[in-house]
Amino acid sequence: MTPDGDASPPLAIDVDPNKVTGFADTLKANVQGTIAPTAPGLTNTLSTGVTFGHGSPSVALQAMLDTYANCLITMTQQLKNVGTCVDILVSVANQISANYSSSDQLAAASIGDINEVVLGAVATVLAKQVPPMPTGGGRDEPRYA
Amino acid sequence: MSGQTNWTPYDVPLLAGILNEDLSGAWDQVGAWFSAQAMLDDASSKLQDARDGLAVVWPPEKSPTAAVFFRLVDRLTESMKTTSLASNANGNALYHVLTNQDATKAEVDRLHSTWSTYQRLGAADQQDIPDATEWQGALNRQAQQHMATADEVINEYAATLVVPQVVPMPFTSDVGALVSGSDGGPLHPSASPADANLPPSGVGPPNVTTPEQGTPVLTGLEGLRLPAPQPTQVQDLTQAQALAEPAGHSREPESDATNQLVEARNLAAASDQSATAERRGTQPAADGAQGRLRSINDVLTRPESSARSSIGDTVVGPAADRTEIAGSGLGFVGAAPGAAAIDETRGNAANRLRRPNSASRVGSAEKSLGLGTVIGRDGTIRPAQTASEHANGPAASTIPVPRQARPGFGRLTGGVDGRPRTTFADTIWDMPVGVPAVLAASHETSTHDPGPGVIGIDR
Repeated sequence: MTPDGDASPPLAIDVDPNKVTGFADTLKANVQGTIAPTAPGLTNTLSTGVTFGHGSPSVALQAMLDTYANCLITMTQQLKNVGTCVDILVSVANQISANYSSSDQLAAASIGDINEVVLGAVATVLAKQVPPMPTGGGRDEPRYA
Repeated sequence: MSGQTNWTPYDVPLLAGILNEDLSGAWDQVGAWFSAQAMLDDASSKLQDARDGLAVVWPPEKSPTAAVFFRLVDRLTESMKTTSLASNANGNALYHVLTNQDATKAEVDRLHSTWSTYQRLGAADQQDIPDATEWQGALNRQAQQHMATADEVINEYAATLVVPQVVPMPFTSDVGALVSGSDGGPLHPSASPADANLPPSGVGPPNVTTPEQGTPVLTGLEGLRLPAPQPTQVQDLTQAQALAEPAGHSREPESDATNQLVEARNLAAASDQSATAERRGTQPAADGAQGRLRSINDVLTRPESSARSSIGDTVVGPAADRTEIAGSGLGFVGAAPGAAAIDETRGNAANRLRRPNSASRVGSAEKSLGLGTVIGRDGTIRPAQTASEHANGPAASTIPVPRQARPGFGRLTGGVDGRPRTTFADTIWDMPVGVPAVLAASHETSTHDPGPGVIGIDR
């Protein structure tokens, strides 16, 4: 790899953009299709936190529950992040297949190109996760005329 | 191994009470852990298969672009697999701890049942019942032994708990390596909060040096470097915050403007993550931040903002004279909507204007008085002034009102949050007085013949 990543001559790789499209479709159907319907329910269950042992004087149980609570918190975040990362990956794959319609184009794609696609996908997915603006229903909420 | 619990002070009824809790929620979590394991195993397996299939036709070892792409895939796959193992470990640990708790509870409940039986027999004054101290001590020792055994099991499985590692989201370290030449650290403060606690990401691409080591190797993405928050925006926001403050009213550090500043920074930062989006300038997050900047800058450009007044406030600035004119009455009857002294930046002022007596006075006067009449705060009625008169200064007939009791200038100058609003209806038109009306009502004819076949028109 050259320092700038762009100076490399186009590599003669037998790349079929349709394979990238197929990869995106597989991700969407199999990976996203597995995680998306399952993860929210798991998150709900795990995000309830520690549900037992609060009244126990057991030192051992309290120590265990401290660690376990941390497990629940990180697992909840991890499930969310995995879902987001899969969304990003699907978006990246779709964008790559859309941008490079021929194998020559895909073979000649630079790191800068793929980086742009990744950044764009990240921004797109994250933008969908931005919580909605206040509606101005409350007296103390700002108004958006 | 945690410290030992001294169970001696706890008798059977107390221990039975401690163990008598609903574990159904925890058992649900056991199922969730194992379901997560199955889900992640399935997803990672399919992701791996898809990745391998694509790598055949787009080998990462021959294409730097493919290498970058597959690095994203591999990191996610690896994270799924690691989390799957952690899920299995945690589900297994919780399963054994809960099973042990159930078993302990069953044993202590049995002892508690015996305890209750002895109590009933003792109350019935049975002769063959041993001394209460004797049987209670024996039952307590058994129960305490069960609790100590349970602690050992808990310690054993607590050691097997695995805190899952949160996958860097969204690939900040990957993108950061490409952009800045380093492989660690989030690109931007807006990165996921979880990133802060993440271990360093995996091995970076070859030939990549950290900024501390020298010039980044990957320099071809200079245009993608993420800019720092614009100082001009920060200055504008800070200035807006200062100017938006009504005179004599200080705000807490956690004021709306400060929050908006932080939020705008974050939103702008989020949008900055996308170089493409940055070039286009059309990211929703960026729009939101800029929109808020615009709204705050509007405060700066609005002359009323620095001279906004309200009932009970000292008027500062050039608008003071205008306030003296328009503020002498509760409102202009027949004038433009909003001509009443409304300044919603003060809730009390708005509330006063919503008082029924205020509304009814204006409404009734409008019916009985001519247009352009002003109802004074003291209930007196007088002709209203035109905007020209406003501009020329107070009329001689203006009823003097103490400065501290003057309503604001006759415009709807703000919402409840102090943000200025101007509508077309707020405009006070410059209208000459004493000249014939431009729009005169048409003269009705005494007879009207609509022609044959027209029904219902009687004039």
